[in-house]
Amino acid sequence: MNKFKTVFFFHLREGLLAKATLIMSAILFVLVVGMLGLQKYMASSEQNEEKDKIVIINESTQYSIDETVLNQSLKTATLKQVNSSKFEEVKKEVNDESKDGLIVISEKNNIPVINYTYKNFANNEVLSMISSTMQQNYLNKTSQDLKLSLEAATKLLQNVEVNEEVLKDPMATFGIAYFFGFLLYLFLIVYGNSIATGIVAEKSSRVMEVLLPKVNPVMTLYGRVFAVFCVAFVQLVVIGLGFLFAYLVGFVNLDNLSLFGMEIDLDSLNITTIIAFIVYFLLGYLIYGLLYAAIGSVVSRTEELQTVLMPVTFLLIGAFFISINALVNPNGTFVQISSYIPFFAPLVAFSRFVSGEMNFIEVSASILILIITVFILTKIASRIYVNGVMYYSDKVKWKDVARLLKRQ
Amino acid sequence: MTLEVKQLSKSFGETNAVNQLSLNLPTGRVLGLLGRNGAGKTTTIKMLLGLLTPTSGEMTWNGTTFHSSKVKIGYLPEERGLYTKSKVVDQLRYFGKLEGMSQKEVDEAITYWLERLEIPHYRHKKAGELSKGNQQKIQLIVTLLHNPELIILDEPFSGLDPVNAELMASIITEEINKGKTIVLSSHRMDQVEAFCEYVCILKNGDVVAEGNLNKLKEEYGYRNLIVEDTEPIKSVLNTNQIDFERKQQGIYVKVKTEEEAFTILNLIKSETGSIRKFQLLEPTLNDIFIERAR
Repeated sequence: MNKFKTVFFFHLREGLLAKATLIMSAILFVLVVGMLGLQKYMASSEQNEEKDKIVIINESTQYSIDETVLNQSLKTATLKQVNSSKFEEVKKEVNDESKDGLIVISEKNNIPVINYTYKNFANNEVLSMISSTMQQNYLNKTSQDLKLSLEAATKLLQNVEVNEEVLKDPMATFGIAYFFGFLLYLFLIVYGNSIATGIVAEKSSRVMEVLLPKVNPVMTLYGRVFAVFCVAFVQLVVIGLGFLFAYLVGFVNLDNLSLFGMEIDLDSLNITTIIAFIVYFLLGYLIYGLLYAAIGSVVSRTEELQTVLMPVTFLLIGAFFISINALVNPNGTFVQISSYIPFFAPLVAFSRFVSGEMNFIEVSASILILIITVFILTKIASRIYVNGVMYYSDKVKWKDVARLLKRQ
Repeated sequence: MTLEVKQLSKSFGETNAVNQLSLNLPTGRVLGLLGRNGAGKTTTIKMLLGLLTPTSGEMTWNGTTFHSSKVKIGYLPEERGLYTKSKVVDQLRYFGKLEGMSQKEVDEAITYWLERLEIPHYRHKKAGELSKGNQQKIQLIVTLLHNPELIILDEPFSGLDPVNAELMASIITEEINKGKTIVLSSHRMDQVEAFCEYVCILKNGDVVAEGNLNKLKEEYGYRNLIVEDTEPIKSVLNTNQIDFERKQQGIYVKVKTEEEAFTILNLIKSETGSIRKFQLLEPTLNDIFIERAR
């Protein structure tokens, strides 16, 4: 046990003090604070943004429009009415972006027609307000023409009432599940690689030859895997600290959080979600960590590592895409099956869990499968590792790996 | 008190890297493990270290089964085995603690050895930043830090300049005087001869000579008779059909016995009239090695 502690603390210290870790911590911190700060800045700049200048030309003889009344209720634009002779001039101004839009009101068979010209983006507020105003004008005129009472006309046009009630909105948990799923994926791939690279470095530098007479290889395997886990955990804490810092300086509005434009609803982030994240993170990390370690141990040269790691990397990328799919469609057959397949489960089952699509029995089953897999992998990985660390070859052949696995 | 190896074999697929190796090394003695490249020296060492599992055979240490985890071994690999990105002191502490040393013991030992090898200023340097020779010194500290009973040195002199080679030699001598059991593999016969009481010469995995060096020399059967390199002496040897070899120091004639040497000397004396200089030398390890391992 003492030797395990020695191996663990050596790798933990080396891991935490490594330049790569320090740089990554700094980048993560700046990234989190920067992203939240940018969001805050954009949100506030939207409020102070200048109103769109929109010009109205009314060519209609039967319908009129009063821009002063409309301007009072418009929030994002100001309207100005000009003579129709200025049509070409204003259109040019819209093209030059000195005006933001031109609305021409005309009529066809006595029905008002609205033509809206804009450069890139329409102002929907103005459009809907003018169209509803013109609709009202048309209604008034038609009811007068047909001698209908206004009351009758209004009744005729009464909308059917539609009430929506979402019992469970997948979008509410989407942000949270996406954020944690992405974090899980990122950490598995970064730290899995870090485990494999460390082992190959130990092998290619022949430190392994000095090390193995001193300590049982299984201890060096687990010492490293757990030390790297702790380094990963510290990075998670750094992300947390970044968030806390951003919150303290007022970058964060807890009621209106978003990630890449996806809303994050903190109400769905409760203690069970965090526990589930930690459990799936730990199990997923162990599964992929052991796989990465086993594969790292059979490789003799760093240059060759990425090629040999490819299958594991694809598994992980596959798991990530299925988990994204699970966010949108948590009950698809493939997604459901994947939440019990060990290599996909950490990501997929977690995102289904956050979406609320897994009951207690299903969650327990997926965790149990993961635990069993960890045990089996422990056996396989230690055996490959023990035999692999003294195996040097120019090119790794899967046949050789199978032989290493069989060897006692 | 012995390291005993019996019928040790290791094969990789079809190839026999080591074949039926047996040797006996009393504790406190030094064994020279010799052989050309690929003779099976490193494979033998790796089996001793437990890095490779023998195909057959057994190893005992003081009568009980030898296992690397039960004997304190200090191993100096042929290639450098250091964490290039870690500080010297950090990895020395790590290796020392893995041998069960306490923080205090390990720090004292590190200070002692860095001073002894005249490199205390590299304590906080990263191993990768040091020159090959200095890395070799750090590697030697890793080997000796925990005061091992059995020291295995694979090519200890490679990469060292003459001054450092001298330092290395003096440290090996110190360890011998402390009564350590040492296995030393090297290509440099002069150095092996200086340290080793026992030798084991390997050729393509087979042991071609093994045992006490002095006994081996006796059994070798030849001594070198050295006489002056002059034309008359050469013609005497030629006419009497005696094989000889011309070297810097003179003419070398291989003789089996002292009598044979005197017969040749008498022959030279009677035909040339005088002998100004002659020497009768014991065979060198180099002679034995070249003959057996070729």
